Amino acid sequence: MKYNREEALRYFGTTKDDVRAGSLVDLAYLKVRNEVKAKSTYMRVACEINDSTVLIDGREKFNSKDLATHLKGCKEVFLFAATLGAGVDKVLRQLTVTDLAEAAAVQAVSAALIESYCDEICCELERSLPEGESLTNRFSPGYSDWDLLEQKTLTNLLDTSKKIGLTLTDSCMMAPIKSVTAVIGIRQGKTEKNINKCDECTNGNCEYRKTN
Amino acid sequence: MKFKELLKKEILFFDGAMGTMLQAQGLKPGELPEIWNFTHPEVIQNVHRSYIDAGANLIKTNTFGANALKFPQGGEYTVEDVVCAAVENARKAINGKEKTFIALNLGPTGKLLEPYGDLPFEEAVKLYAETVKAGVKAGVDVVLIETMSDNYEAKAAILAAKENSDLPIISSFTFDIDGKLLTGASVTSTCAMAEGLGVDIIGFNCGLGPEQILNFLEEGLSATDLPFMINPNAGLPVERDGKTYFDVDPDEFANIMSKIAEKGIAILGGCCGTTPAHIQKLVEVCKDYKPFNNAVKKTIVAAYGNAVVFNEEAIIIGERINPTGKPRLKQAILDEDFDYISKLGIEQIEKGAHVLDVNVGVPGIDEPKILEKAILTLQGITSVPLQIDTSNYEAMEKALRIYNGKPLLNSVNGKEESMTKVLPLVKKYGAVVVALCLDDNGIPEDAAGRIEIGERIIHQAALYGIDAKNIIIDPLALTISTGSENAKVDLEIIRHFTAKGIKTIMGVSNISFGLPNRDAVNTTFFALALEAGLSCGIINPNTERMMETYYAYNALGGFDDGCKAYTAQFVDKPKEQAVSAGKEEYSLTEAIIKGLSKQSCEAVKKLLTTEEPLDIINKYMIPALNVVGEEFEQKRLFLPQLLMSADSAKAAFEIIKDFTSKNNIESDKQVIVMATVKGDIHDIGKNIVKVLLENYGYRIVDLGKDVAPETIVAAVVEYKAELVGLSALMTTTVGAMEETIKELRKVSTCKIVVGGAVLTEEYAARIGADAYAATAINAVNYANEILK
Repeated sequence: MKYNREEALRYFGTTKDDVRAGSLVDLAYLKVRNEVKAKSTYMRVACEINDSTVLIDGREKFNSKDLATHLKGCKEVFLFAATLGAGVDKVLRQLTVTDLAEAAAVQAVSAALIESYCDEICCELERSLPEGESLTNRFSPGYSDWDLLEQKTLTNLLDTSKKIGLTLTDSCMMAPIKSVTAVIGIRQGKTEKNINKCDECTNGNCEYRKTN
Repeated sequence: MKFKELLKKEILFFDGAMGTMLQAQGLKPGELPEIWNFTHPEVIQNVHRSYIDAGANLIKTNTFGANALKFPQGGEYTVEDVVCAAVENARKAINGKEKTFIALNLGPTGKLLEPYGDLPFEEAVKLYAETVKAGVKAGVDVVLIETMSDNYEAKAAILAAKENSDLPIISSFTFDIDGKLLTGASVTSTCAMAEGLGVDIIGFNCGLGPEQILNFLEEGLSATDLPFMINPNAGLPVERDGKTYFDVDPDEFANIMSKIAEKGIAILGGCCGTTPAHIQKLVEVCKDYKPFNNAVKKTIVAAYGNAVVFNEEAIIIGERINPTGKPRLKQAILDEDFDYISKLGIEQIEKGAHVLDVNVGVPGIDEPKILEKAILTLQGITSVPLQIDTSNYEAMEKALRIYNGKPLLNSVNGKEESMTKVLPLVKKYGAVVVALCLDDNGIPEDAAGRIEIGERIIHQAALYGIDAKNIIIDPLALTISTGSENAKVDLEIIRHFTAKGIKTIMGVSNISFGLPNRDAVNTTFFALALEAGLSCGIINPNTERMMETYYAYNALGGFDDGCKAYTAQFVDKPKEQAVSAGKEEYSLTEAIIKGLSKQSCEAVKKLLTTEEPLDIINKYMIPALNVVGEEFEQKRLFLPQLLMSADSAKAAFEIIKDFTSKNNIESDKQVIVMATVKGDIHDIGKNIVKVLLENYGYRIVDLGKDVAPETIVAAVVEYKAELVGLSALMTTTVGAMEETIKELRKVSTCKIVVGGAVLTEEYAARIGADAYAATAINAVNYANEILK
């Protein structure tokens, strides 16, 4: 999986010209890459898009206007989940004790890694689609107006704990920490994707928001 | 005929998949298959029946997810209802057929246990206990714990089964293609733990096809002499059009399984994707194989990573986590400063320790509680096995119980009381135990006396069903300054037990107590003991000469092929020294601003020779941190620099703390209680704020993550804290923060500062906080304003 250094530095709260931070993230990458055990799972299901809800497989409902907008025109979606595994959590806990700066760097690097990994899997998924179909960007519980609690439905449908070891806490946080769940729309014809994924999100307070 | 009578006499066959069979008949993704016990009993019975007709002797009840998380009390069906219906369905399908048994199926809870997730270990035990009790009531023949991808969860299930039934237990694990569980445990670690906990059969199931399981089956067979069960999938899952398929057909499946049967496996069956046709073929091809035992006797300790196997090469046990003669550690234990304990652990692992001794025995503390916390904390940061070191029986049991893996216990001795109290715990929790050669009459002077005690302990342990491989004899090193024969006695004892295949252990450095230049005596004695056969040395891995002796001995003794380990250890040494000789000197203030940890340590050591600790903090450290904080606020420097400065100040602070605890300097620090609120398991933000505040000289009572409101309230009351810092990351956990604030207001006038990704100024005000800290520096500024 690709190590996107620039993204790692952005998550670390600095820029690519920051030399010392740069060596910290590089070191972090070396520390974490052997602990990463990336796994993913997905499922193709039918969906029904309404104004502010998305009905999955004719029985499970997601309540989010922004998700419905995102999936507009889709008849089917991929439910998607991925994780870097529990090894990253251990490294993070260990470094928190010995070296905080390095811990924050590992945090940033693994955030960048899970994004790269998801991008790669989704790219493969898109390539394997029948002629004439394309994918939208990923849209995850907790984005915009989509309540994080609905993450539970998603992990249940995918049986993520058994398939890839991705579990939820009672408050719907993911364990292992570096994990992603998402819905991806399947479109007939080409999809115009936002290059900046942040444009689709309404959370203006997010400290990682990218501006164009 | 009973299951146990048949086991090992003839090869037995498990059924195949239930889940994928039900999916083929319309079970929807996300739907609970256990409900079908009520809604589609005929379908369940048919699946069972078709496997029985195919020749299966063991039928898994349709109870994989039957736990109270999925079937809570007061819901439509309780766990007991589900188990009862499922067993009834199995029984109807068996319809009195001979040699056919019902296995109560217990799958994973679907949650990760602490510290990775939020399920406490004892909660997991409770969940499984409920299902086991229901199974016993319904009259199952066997408990099958299966598809376990976390050692720790398996331990909870095994304990629950042991504590609530006398049934035979099969504990079956799901490895990935590299032979590791999801949480990292190796095949050897897993088998050693399960064997220790007293399961009857170890299994591998799911995840992989038979071909992949063959790759690491040998590793399992060479870790334990228990019988095995192998239930693979019908090959690796293949994704087509967003759906999962298993492609290995019955003929191919049975063919590869016959290679597994050749290895003397006791039970064969199938998991996901297998069908009655697979099982029928399997029975046809493999029914004439005979199961046999592996004669394996290995001493193994393990956590949830790689196991430590006691082979020819000796094992290093790091002795540093022991407060005897260490005022700084003693203070850390009293302050419940687990970060410091963790650091001692990490340092020793980096220096080459294979196992860490953990002793927190300080008079006046609640040792059971502190030892438990220390074990949990250390296991959160490392998968190196631990040696639980205590003479407090309550602490011993607690620690053995919550330990993740196969523990090493220090110690039992020849006194009647010790043996009666300790040996049952060793048996129950599957520990390897250190046996000290002393008894009610003290330590015999001669070797024969101590050998007799060692033998007596081994004999007594056998009566409890503890194998001699799980006993490690400690001959006890007494200083040669009071008895010139003392070293010789130890060596004789080590030789005696080594000749009998019994492992030995020793705290080496005691041999030189009271002598000058102790390293010379210790290293020579260590080398002699290794040559006599010592299996493990409890030493300080930070003592370079001891580690030099260890690596040199391994190279000389032929245990280090091509001197690889020796060379790797020492080849880079001179270079490092050359680098450190050439660097420039920094003032403490400068070093902190620049974020240079080594340099700030050197600067602070120098300052301590002329200035008071408190003055150093006030005159140099705080001004430096203020500069960094201002620069950060002005956005002239960014998070990485802020953290590097915080780390270097922390390193300097550690040296000051060492100095003050050695010199008994008391300091009155203001207390700040900090926690990540209930339900929230992300705590890096809180930890950053904590380190910064500590650098300013505050005492932080860090309650950790996922902390209940009542725990926070209790700490604020106990420490009379005037400031509390709370963090919450998600919309779903801000509620817990609000509740915590409400509870705090009832009992305390403390100020409350909050932070976390989803919070804003307004949000913080709305839930009743006194202040909102958008950044770590905001939190520090607020603390300085309130407390100074």
